[in-house]
This record gives sequence, C-alpha cells and structure tokens, in this order.
Amino acid sequence: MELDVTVRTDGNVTVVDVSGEVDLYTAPRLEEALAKASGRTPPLIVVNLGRTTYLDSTALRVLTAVFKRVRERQGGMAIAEVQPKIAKLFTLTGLDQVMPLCPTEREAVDKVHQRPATA
Amino acid sequence: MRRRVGIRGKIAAALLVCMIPVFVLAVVLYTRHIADRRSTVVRTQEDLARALARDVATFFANTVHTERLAGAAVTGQPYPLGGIAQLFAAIRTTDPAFQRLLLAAPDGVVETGAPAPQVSRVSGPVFDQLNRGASWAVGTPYLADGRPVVEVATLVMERGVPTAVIDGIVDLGMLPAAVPTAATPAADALVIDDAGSIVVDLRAGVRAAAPLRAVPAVAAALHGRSADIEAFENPWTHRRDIGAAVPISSLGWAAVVLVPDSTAYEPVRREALLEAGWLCAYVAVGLGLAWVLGGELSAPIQQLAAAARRVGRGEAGYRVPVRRTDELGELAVAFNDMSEQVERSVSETSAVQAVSDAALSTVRLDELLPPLVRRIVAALGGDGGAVWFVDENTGELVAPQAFGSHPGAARRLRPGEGLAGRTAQEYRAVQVTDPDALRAIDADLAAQGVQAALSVPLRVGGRTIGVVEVIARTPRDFGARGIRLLETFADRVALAVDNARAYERQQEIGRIIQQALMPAPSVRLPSVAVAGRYQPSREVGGDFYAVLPLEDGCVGLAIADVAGKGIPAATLAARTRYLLEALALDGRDPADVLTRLNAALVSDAGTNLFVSVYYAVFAPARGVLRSASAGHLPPILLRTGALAPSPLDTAGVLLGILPGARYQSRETAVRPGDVLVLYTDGITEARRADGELFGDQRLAAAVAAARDGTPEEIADAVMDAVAEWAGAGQRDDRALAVIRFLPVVSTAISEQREEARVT
Repeated sequence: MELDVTVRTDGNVTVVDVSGEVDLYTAPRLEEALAKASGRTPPLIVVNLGRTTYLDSTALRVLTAVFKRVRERQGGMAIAEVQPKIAKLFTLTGLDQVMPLCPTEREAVDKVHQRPATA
Repeated sequence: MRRRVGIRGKIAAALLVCMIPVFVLAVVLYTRHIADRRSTVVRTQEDLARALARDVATFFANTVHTERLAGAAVTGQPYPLGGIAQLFAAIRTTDPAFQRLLLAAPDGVVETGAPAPQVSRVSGPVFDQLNRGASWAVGTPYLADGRPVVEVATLVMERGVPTAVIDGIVDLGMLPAAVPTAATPAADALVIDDAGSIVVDLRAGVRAAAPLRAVPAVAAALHGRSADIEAFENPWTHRRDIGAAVPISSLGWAAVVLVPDSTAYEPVRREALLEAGWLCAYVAVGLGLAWVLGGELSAPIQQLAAAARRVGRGEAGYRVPVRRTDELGELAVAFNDMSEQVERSVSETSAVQAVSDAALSTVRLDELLPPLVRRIVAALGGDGGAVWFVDENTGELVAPQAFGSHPGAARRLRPGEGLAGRTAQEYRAVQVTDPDALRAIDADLAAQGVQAALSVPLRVGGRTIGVVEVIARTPRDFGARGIRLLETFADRVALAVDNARAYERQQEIGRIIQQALMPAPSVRLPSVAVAGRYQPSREVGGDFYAVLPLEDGCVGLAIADVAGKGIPAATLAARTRYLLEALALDGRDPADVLTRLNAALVSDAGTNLFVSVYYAVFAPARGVLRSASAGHLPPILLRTGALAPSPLDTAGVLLGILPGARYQSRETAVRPGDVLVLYTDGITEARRADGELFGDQRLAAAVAAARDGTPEEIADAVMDAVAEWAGAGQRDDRALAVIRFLPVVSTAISEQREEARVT
C-alpha cells in the first residue's frame, strides 16, 4: 500500500502526481495534498493518475469532495492520464460525467483553464 | 574503559614502595655482613698463621732447651766422653728430630757426639753467630738425604763464661708431627725461612723450592710484620688463595697460611645466598599478600560493577550476594537496596506509562483494563484489584471487573456504601490497613478474606466515573507513596476509560442504527428467496441491502454503499434507505427512484459523503429484472445452465454529487433458478496479506461452486471465502445479498402483502 504524492505547478495550475495505490490508509495523504491546492483563489487543479495503480471508494470520495469544493469556489479540476482499469471505475460510478478525464496532462491543464464547473 | 592499573596493581606498587627502605637496609646490612664474614675469614687465616708461628717457635725453643740441658748435663761435672756420647744417643732416641748432636769446645773443636762425629770442628754461619754473642742460633735449612734439616747450635755458659757448644742437626721433616696445628683441612701451612724458601710445607711435608718472597705480605712477615695475603696465584694448585703471613720473630722466618679463595669464602657465599634467598622470599610473600589482598578487594568490586551494569541495561532488581561484613559488604547491601528501589520505580513507572499509552488509543474497554489493572496491582504489591463504574443514570456503582484474587461483588453499591461507594462519594482516596477497620467499612470484602484495601476514584472533569480498588489478603499499609501512585494511575485511566466508553457508546449507537437498516438474514417471498450477509468493519459503517415487497408481487432489491465510517455514514445510510423505500413503494421505475434520491441527497450542503446504490425491481409475472445503478459495482447473475456468473453492467453517477444527474434503467430477463448476487466493494476489494485483491473472478468462482445450495449456503460460501482470503484484517464493510428467483405461483401474490418488512 505505497503511495507517493508530489505537487508541482504549471503556471497557476497545481498538478498533483499520484503514484501507487490510494486506499483507506493512503487516501489522507492525497486529501492533504489536494486540500492546499483547493484553498487557492481560484483553485485550478490537475490530478495526474498516470502512475496510479489502484483507487477505491475512499479515493473517489476524496476526489469528489475536492471537486465539489473547487466547483463552489469557481475553480476548475481535471483528471489526467487515467489508466484503463481506473477509467472503468470512473465510468461505473459515473464520475466521468462529473469531472473531465483527459488522456494527457496538457489537455487537462487546458481544460482546467476553461473552468469546467459542470461537465 | 580499560583499567589502567587495578587495585591489585596499586596495592602491589604501594607494598613495593614501602619495602624499598627495607630493601636498601637489607642490602646495606648484607654487604656489611659479607665484608665482616670476609674479614673473619682473613682473620682465621691470620690466627692459623700465628698458631703455626708459635708452634714453630716452640719447636725451636724446645730444641734449644734440649741442647742446653744436654750441655749443662755434660759440662757441669766430669763426664766421660763415652758417657756423653751415650747420653746424646739417648736424647736422640727420645727426640728423633735430632739427627746429630755434637759437643764442642767454645772454640769449635768437636769433642764427642751422637752419632759419631764426622767433622772435627764446628764452623759456619751458625757458629759465627755464637761467636758474635748469640746464645743460640739457627742455620739455613737445607736438604740432606731428601729431608729438610737445619743446624741449631746452643752456647753453654757457666757463670757467664762459655764452656761448650752443643750443635745439633734437626730434621725439619719432623716439624709437622711436632706442630699440632695441621691447620684447617683446606689450608696450606708453610714456613718460610729468611731466604724466602719454603722450609716446611705442612701439607706436603716436603721441601719445595718456589720462592714466595715476591708476595709482599711474606716479605713483610720476614721483616717482622704480620700481613694478610689477599690474592695469591698458587703455582702448585693453580688456584687463587688468600691467607696470612706471620713472622716467627725468633728465627727471622715467617709462617704462612694459604687457603683457596673459594673454599675460604665458601661459607660466606652460602650465607650470602641464603640471605638473598630470604630477601627474595620476603619480597615474594609481600607481593603475594598484595595479590591476595587486592583480589579480596577487587573481586567484589568487579562483581558490583558487573551488577550495576546489568541494572543499567534494564535488569532492575538484580541483587548481589552479600558475603562479607566489612565495608564491601555494606556496599553490597546498599546496592541491593538501590536495585530494589530501581525495580520498584521501574515497575511503577511502566504501570503508569502503560496507562498513558493506552489513553492515546481508542481501544475497547475490555481490552484496555485488564493489563493495566494487573500492572498497577503488581506495582503496589497487592493481591487483586477491581474497577467499578458509575451508572450515569442512578449514580450507583456497577459490579466491577475483578482481577487477581479480588472477590468481585455480586451487587451494585449505592454512593457511600461499601469501600468503593465511600470512595466515590468522598471523591478521594480511602485506605484501610487492617481487617477490623475493613469489616466496618465493607463487610462483603472482609467476609471474602480481604484484610487491607486501597481505593481511589476515577475522576474526569470534576465527576467520578468509577473507582479503582486494590486489595491485599494480609494487613498492609500501602503508604503515601502507594496512594500517590494509585491516584496517578487512576487519573490517567479515568481519561482513557472515559474515551473508551464514549467510543463504545458511539459504536453502540451506530450498531443500533445499523441493525435498523438490515433486513433479516433470510427473507422468503413467493417469488424470491434472499439471503443477506453483513459484516461490518471495526467502526460502524454505511453498507446496507434491502428486500422490499411491492405491488403486484414485484420485489424491490437494493444494495448500497455509503463511503465513510462512523455515525455520519450510518445516518446517511439510514436516510438513503428510508428515502429509497418511500420512493420504491410508490412503484417507481428504478431510474426514477435514483434520480429523485440523488436530488434529495445532493441538496445537502457540506456533506462529503456519497452513496452508491443499485436498485432493481423484479416482476415475476414477466420474468424481468429492471435495474439501475448509481455508481455501484455491477451485480452478477448466474443463470441456470450457464457455466459462470456474468456481470449486469450498469453505469450511473454516485448519488449526491451531481445535481440533476439522470439514470438509466435496463431490463434483464431472469428465469426461475437464476441467482443474482448483490455485493459491496468490501467483498471484491478484500486484500490478502500480500496485497492481492479477492476480485470479481474469485467471487464468481465462489458463487458458481455453491450454486446448487440455498441462497444462505451460497452467501455463507462467499463470506467464508472472503474471510479466509483476507485473514485477520478487515478494512471495509462487507455486504452481500444472494437472490434466487423462484418459480412463480400466482396465488401467493396477495399473501405477499401480508409479509411484513422484517427488520
């Protein structure tokens, strides 16, 4: 159950790289990393799941909560580089209709700038 | 740390230092003694030489005396010449040293003698000496027939007028026999004449011809002065000799005694060696004593040092044996006391520390208390303990958890009643140190054999939540220290206990809510047989499943998973369940139900909890299952005749996120005997120790393997498989509903209305 979360910036967009597994025990770290980013004005966040190997409901809860907060603050959030297995989860829970999923980080950053408050 | 010089070394050094003056003194005495001994040796030789000189002088004196007597005898009266010869012969017989004895006139003309005279006149240096006025004279010794002889002449006087000369030749070879002192066996005794030739070698008895005149001592003796010979290279024995030379003044000769250096000093050396040996023994004994003494001191000290190290490493309470009554014994006793104190201190500290540790974790009360109480009872040296709790409603103390040999209690105590009651009421520690006093306060405890007790209240935020009691079965005074210790313990435990109870209350509430949510494990309706299983994780959670009888014999089937834990999740689950039920009972289409449900939930501001729901309506008349899902894992359907179950793929967004989300229903034909399995992600995402997930495949396999059994058997098979897979740890709630579609019997439809929803 290893998780590595790194935060960087691309202009005024915060990019959060998630590497490893996000579950009940590791989700708090993801939450922490996103909490800071979502506090900005306006919050512009890209979550890069390129190296994410596992997400469970706790992780989805974290992402959904952050998305809600970002939306309330007139910001934008997008998910980048989702692997097929993870993508299935987003589809199943309908979250792919809630937050934009982009194949590349570049696209995700662009999307975020467009402030997609609703998908 | 390397010991540089140990106690032994220091004592030995001190001893050696003290012995130095003794040593110096001993060496001084030793040398002086040796010197004394040496001089004694020398003096011995001198004495011998003197004795020899005396003996030689005596010999000649006797010779001269004999000659005088002979002279007096033959000149005092008319004596026939033949008679004189006979007399002289007789003298010779008596004194065999006389080789010749002559009677001569004062002018030297020989008259007679024995043996018969060979010469007609007496002449020579000896006679000349007589002529010059000596009364007697001794000549220079010479060899005659291999024997050393010397001429001795005496002048016979009558009324001051010389009347005759007695002239004798004396055999010096007879000297050794006449000289009783054969000296010491090792000594050479020599008589040297004025020419420095050896006259007589008392040892050899033969005249030898080597001059000793060169020896200064001999020269001195010949000149009349005694002297020591300090070193003489003896040419005959090839040894170094020491000795003495003493003048034989009457003759102008010297008596010399020579002794080999080694022999003379032999006893001296022996003594010296012996004394040196004693000295060494003395030093050795001293060092030996130092060693033993040092050992006596250093061994117990090392033992104590080792013991101290052990205590330092954590072996509190390690004792050393006390075998001595001196200062070291005192130290050992003090050490043992200290160690005991340390042990007690450590056990007390760890007892209190254990409480702090426990207070930090939200552990269940029945796991929390026993080890803590045991530890504090042990630290206080008691025989048992008990923890009472206050019933918040009545203020009474509830019968306690008892540990060790505490008898426990059969009933509750009112405030003020019994020892615990008294403590709770008085809000402070109460100690009873003897059985009589205890009987007065708490007859029940006393009746059970308790003889002493200490009881302190558990206080949190100004109120008593319980009492900790420590008992002893012999009269005991726990002391101010014990009371303080138990109070400290109690304060910390109180906090932990309070937390644990609050946590348990919360859990209880959650469980109550949860129980309300769950239908019975088995539900049997005319058209379906349902077996449900729910295994919550440690904290109360938010999974549920529901079986809802609807109109026209339809059955609503739902499973839901609220993300999150604790009471918020449980209450959200409850709300969702009841909303779902209400919407379902209206007979709405699953998609519609979910849409409305979402609308109701999404308006909740500030909630970060989302629900996944799968809802399906089974219409037995048409054999159709109509279902919709809001982000829930797809259920699996095992059709009769199919090899394995297949998922009923559905999609829809989780409830509560997206305002205005819309959902889709899909229809699936089902036949009697088909089995539908609804589950939550606690099943498929259960992890084995190595991290691998249980997964869809294994779920499908477990269902397929049990397909011929009842829904209960299938459900149990799945739960068992998951439990075995995950082992001890369970992180998420596991909810499972197994539905078998039954052959439709149309008359039973109306009966279904009577079937209450079982809770």
